[in-house]
Amino acid sequence: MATEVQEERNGRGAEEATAPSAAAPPCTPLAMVALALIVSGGAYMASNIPHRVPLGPAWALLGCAAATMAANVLLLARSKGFAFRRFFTVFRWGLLAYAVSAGMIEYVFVYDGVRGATLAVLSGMLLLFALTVPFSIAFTVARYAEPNG
Amino acid sequence: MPAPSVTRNLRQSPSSQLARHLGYLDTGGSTHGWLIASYSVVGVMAVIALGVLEPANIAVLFEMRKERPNPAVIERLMRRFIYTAGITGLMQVATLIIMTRLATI
Repeated sequence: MATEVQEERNGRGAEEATAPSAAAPPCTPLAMVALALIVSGGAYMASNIPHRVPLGPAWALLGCAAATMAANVLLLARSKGFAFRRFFTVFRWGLLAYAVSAGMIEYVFVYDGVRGATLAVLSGMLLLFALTVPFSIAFTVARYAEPNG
Repeated sequence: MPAPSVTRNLRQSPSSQLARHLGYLDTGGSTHGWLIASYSVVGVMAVIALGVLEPANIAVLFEMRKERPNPAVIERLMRRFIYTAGITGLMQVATLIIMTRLATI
């Protein structure tokens, strides 16, 4: 009785009060892997300063992160019944926020005199950072949205 | 020199500036390993915060904006906070250990 009253208050039956088990691609773990690779690249570069940083491992980490995100995008693009409209709405706003954040960090890099290949690696990492986090946010929101929502 | 920029990217600019001033960032120094450990701690916490918790937070807000929010979805998303609490706690303990070691070396 108490449960029925509670369900009535919630405006839904017990069969409705379950999380949708949509077979979404593993975008969140992949995005986390990409983010971890980017952060590892940043930590690697920071660990070598103030000496000259060998850029090989940094490029490798950046490449792995980019490949992971590319696979992520492909997996998501191939999934059917996903709320893409909601995904892009959230992604756009997230991208705006993280573009501002990444732009400020990029400005600091340039202001501090980072040039050449080092700046290229760091800019690539920043670009991926600014794409990965909004992607992860938008995916998590759209996963529980109606397909046409 | 890219030192301030790179470490600012790791969200620890004030401490890195101090570390650079005190010579802790010297790769030949005895504290360098502990500094690397601190970068790792910051990295793990950043990945959890940006990759797991922030998306869950925003998704919960979207769910609650619906005319009929689904409590099961909110519960499922909030479960992430429970799963990551242990890791965050471990990282805080690691932070204390690193700070203590750096102060006593």
